[in-house]
Amino acid sequence: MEDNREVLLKVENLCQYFKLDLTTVNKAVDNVSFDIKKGEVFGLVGESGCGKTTTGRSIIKLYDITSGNVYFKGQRICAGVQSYKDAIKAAKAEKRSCKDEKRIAELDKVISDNKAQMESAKRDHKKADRKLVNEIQMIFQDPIASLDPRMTVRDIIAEGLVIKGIKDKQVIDNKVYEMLETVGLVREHASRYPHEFSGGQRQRIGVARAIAMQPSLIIADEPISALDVSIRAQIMNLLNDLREKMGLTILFIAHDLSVVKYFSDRIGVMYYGHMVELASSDELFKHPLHPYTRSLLSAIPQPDPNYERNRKRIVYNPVADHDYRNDAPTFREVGNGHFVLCNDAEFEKYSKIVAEN
Amino acid sequence: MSTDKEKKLQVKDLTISFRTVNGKLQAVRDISFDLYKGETLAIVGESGSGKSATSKTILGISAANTIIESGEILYDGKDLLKISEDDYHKIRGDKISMIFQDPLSSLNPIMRIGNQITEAMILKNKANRRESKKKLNETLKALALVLKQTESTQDDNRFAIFRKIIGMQAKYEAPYEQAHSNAVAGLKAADDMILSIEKDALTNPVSDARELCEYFKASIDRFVVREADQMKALAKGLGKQARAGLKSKDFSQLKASVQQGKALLEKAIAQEKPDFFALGCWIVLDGNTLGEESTQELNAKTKASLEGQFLKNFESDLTSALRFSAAKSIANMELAVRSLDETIAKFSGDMPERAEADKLSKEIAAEVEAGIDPFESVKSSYAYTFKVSLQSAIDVYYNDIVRNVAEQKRFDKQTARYQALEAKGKAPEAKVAPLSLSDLALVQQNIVRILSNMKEQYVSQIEVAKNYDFEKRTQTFFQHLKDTAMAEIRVITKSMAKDRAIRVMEQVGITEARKRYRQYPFEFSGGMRQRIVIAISLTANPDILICDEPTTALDVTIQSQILELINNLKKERELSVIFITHDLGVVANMADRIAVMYAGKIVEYGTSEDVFYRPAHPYTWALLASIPDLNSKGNKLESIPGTPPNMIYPPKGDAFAARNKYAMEIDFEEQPPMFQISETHYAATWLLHPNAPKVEMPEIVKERIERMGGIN
Repeated sequence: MEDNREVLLKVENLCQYFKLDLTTVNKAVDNVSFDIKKGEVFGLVGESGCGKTTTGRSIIKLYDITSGNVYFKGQRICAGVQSYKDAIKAAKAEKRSCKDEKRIAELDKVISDNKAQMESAKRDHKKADRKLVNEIQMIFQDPIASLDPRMTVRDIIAEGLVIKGIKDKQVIDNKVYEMLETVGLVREHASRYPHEFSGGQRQRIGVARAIAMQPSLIIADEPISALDVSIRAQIMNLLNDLREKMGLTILFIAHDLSVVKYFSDRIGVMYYGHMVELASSDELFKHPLHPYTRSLLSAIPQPDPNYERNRKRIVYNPVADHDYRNDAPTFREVGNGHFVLCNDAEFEKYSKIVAEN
Repeated sequence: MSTDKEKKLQVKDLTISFRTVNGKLQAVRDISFDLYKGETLAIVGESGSGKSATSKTILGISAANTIIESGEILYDGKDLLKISEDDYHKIRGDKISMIFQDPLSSLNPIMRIGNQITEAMILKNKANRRESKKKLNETLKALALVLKQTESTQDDNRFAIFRKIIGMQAKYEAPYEQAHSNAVAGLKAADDMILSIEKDALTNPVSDARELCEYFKASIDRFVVREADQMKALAKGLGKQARAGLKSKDFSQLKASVQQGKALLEKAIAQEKPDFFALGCWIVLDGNTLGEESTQELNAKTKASLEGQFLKNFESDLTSALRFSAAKSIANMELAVRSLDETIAKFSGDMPERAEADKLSKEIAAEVEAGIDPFESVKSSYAYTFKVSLQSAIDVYYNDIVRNVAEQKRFDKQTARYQALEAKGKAPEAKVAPLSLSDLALVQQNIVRILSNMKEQYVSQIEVAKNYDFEKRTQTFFQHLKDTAMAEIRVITKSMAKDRAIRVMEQVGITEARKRYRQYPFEFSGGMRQRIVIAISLTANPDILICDEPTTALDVTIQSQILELINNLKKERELSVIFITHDLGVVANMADRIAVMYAGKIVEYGTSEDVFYRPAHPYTWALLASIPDLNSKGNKLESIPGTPPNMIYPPKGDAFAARNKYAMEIDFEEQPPMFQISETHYAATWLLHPNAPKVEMPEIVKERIERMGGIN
């Protein structure tokens, strides 16, 4: 496909762990890598609790990531240090029991390298360019909970601009009106409060707030799940229009697969913190490789009674479907921009399937 | 849909309004539908279309500002709109249960999940036993009475013997079922464990082993796992072996024990299911005692008891009783039909005096009641609600007369005062409130309608009753007797309730159910809580399950799992389901029939094939066009412009006209009637009128239907 497009966001080995107590760690996101090209819609799907929302929030720096790197427009905006720490720890442990001088010198080098990298990561993470990060904006799931009930629509949309440092009232007002009209509302709405709007209109305000900052990347975290059927289509059409008009890049997080399929160019499937499959949306739906993806696709209800009557749900059992005793799986490409989490044996099997098609 | 299916619930001309500060909001406007046994009716529509108002009224939990303007909801011989709160209490949750959209509001925050699931089970069991006892006694008494009239030989003992047989059946069946379900679950757990050991993927061997130990112990029963000592020893060793294995990283010993246990369980499950009723007969009638026979031997032995003289006599007694009462009921019905005709004539012209009308109503109600067959196992007839409906309609009529007189008086008095003030040249402060008289003719029509409906019902019922298949009826009636007697005896103990709760929790996809059983609601995520709510509703074993967007908050895999579960239950227990949702994919999966609602009215009504492959109403088209499916890519979705109308001021014509691009002039003038498209398919749109222009459905819908290959 259009592989020559500029990579806008690059996520590299992203890990986000949460400490539950002294001994247990919840690996919400574990070693996830993907990149989003300019003008593309990247869908992220998976069941609830699989870490898709955490991934989105980590990118926008709502959490400090545990390890890994996030590059936006070529600059590192998030970095975690846990992997360097681990490397240093391992090297030091080996050094203690090691007798070979040559090896010790090697290990010393590893330690100092990692320390340097850790320093730079910390610096990049803290001093990331605010202006650059401002180009990433988020649309939240619940339009009621994400709008301050005591602010007028004008204040809600203008808040980001004010923080950005724009002081001229005229400029802000014009910008607010422009945004309202872009999302299909009218100027008069600016002086109203969120509770005076219907669900679909509220979500439009959320969209207007996000695009007021002239972002180049929007993270849409289940923007239509909480909406009524007829309104869903409105918001989806709106996002599609904006994408064409403003050249937006969107990270689209959702669990409704037919919507993701309709909307996205490429789709990543997550399962318990791991990215298990990544492919273009047509490819993914035509040739799902990972058993979890297959199970997920088999569960989508379709508005077609005959199809529904014969639909068989495939059950995914990670223990039975994989054999990872001797060979741990890694995330690799099997061809055609189709990535799967697999080990060597599975890799061969999958490659064959891809080659056949 | 075939009409020979039994109607579980009938909603007739239901109109619901809400009193609000701004005026009366008409939430539901004159809707009627039937729910058949073992089918799913889906109600589809936007929020605010009256779906939830309807379902809440069926369950009797509508808000305090609700006015039920008119209509009937018939269930099990009762009109749910007219029964007392006490009676409703017996139906709600037990017979008609509901899964709510919002799980937070339906769980008690300070009670453990386990207690919340089992509490209802245990309480309902107590109430159920009391109820069944009453019901059984009544039926048996009626039977004895009828039998006295039909035959000469008397055996008063037979009902006592029948109860004894059922008691014996219950004694062995209950523990068997508990042990058997544990064995099935244990087998699955054992399989998982062996697989995990083989693949070296054990995460928590000790707690897994503990769980397996519970299953092993619970599956010991005379009819399930008979090797009690061996099983106990195996179960006891599991925990120790798991701990040892954790230390030495070698689980071979654990695996060996699990495999042994698994073999025992497999053997137990492979056994034939014992016929406990036959066993009961064998013990009670033939005076045998239970030895150490295997189940197969036992089944062979006990089979003969089913052919015994006692049961034969019992069944022939039942048949003759049914015959007798059916004949009597037919005769009475014929009488009632004649009297109904007379009564209709009396109420059609000038209404009689109130006392006279009351007397007439009482007489006719008594006659109609005489036509009821006491051995009807399903009370679907109008006759049960006839008395209450008729009397309330008559009361309304005479009260309205009194009210009209008073109203007229007030109006005359105020007008006179007003005119007097005006004549004096003073400007009166207040205007006279306009005269509001209720239309007596309409109320009278309602009375006549109730009577003639009853008549029609009886005329058709007489036809049916004349062609009864008594052999089949005897079988169903006997089964009904057995079930009632069983329900009287069956006790649900705490441990049984716990077992069942855990099983249901596993069914709705809650992992580590044994651990979760002791947790509080706040320890669960939203999706998990929803599953608990579903589990609670399912354990109640309802007749009718109302699901109000139960899976909207869940992701696809769990959604599909839960829909499958509801579908299975539906098949197993012939559950009737009302499914409210706006996800058309889910509707296609679940529904046998679909009602599309808009602005408080049903606009299209048909089987799911009708609605998905041959949609006729523009609103249905719009709904179908507004969702993407897996094949639609790139083309713009058609959203429905605008919002639903404000139902405080319902539009004059078709409510959907303002948002409808196919609207014609008449749509703004007059409400369309229900046009019948086929035997099962109805839609309320003027487009179906013979004079209407031919309009094609939107391209996107048409294309999709063609792709689905649905037009046939």
